[in-house]
Amino acid sequence: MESERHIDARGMACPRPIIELAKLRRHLCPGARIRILADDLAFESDVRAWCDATGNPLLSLERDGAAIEALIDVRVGRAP
Amino acid sequence: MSAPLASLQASAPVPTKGRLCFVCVSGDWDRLYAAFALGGSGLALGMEVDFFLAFFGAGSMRAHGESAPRAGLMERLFQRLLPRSVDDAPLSRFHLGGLGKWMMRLLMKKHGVAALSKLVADVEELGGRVHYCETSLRLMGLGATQLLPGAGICGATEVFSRARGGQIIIV
Repeated sequence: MESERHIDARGMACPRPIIELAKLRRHLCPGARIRILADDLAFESDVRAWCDATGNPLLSLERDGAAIEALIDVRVGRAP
Repeated sequence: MSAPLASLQASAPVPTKGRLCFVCVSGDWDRLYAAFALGGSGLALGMEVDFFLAFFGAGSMRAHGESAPRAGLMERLFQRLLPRSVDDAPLSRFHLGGLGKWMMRLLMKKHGVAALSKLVADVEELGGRVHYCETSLRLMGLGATQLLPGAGICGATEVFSRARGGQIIIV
């Protein structure tokens, strides 16, 4: 059973949402998922760049009102 | 109502490797903020990031502590003129004797922008390393307890040694 963790980064300005995402990723094992909600205007391009660069696929990216919700598959987690 | 946003990544991702060295010579809040925001983003992407604090950069990034035992009257007087903590660093423009900084604090609170000290803590948590320039510490009489926790002291040669194969950004 894979675990899903949530981050509510609404109200946080760039680069805090991505920093919170990177901090949480360090504590998760491969197979976990992160669902993050943010309303910073740079978040959509930032989260794509983060997923591309770190090797953690972006499973979905949806707009929910003013916020954007991203679901990320953690492939590269903490060191074993 | 949620709507999917167009096209997710298609190609196989490659973990980023890279190295960034920020040399923070300025003690201005906005310059330090930009360096730590960019450095934090680099760390989030898996890069190795070092911050070298020199001159007013070292003077602004102080913790509360004791001056160096060798610090004389002049060094202690100089320290009195420096910001008391990272969050007290002045703006490079529109500081207006603190009025501009006070307005900036209110704006940051209103718009959810984290304090510089919070950003520095995040950077350290993500593995960013902070080093102080030895010459600057000596000039300003800063003691070991006045450095940020976990920070080291380094010389100019170590900057190049750590920056090898990466980029040096001077702010």
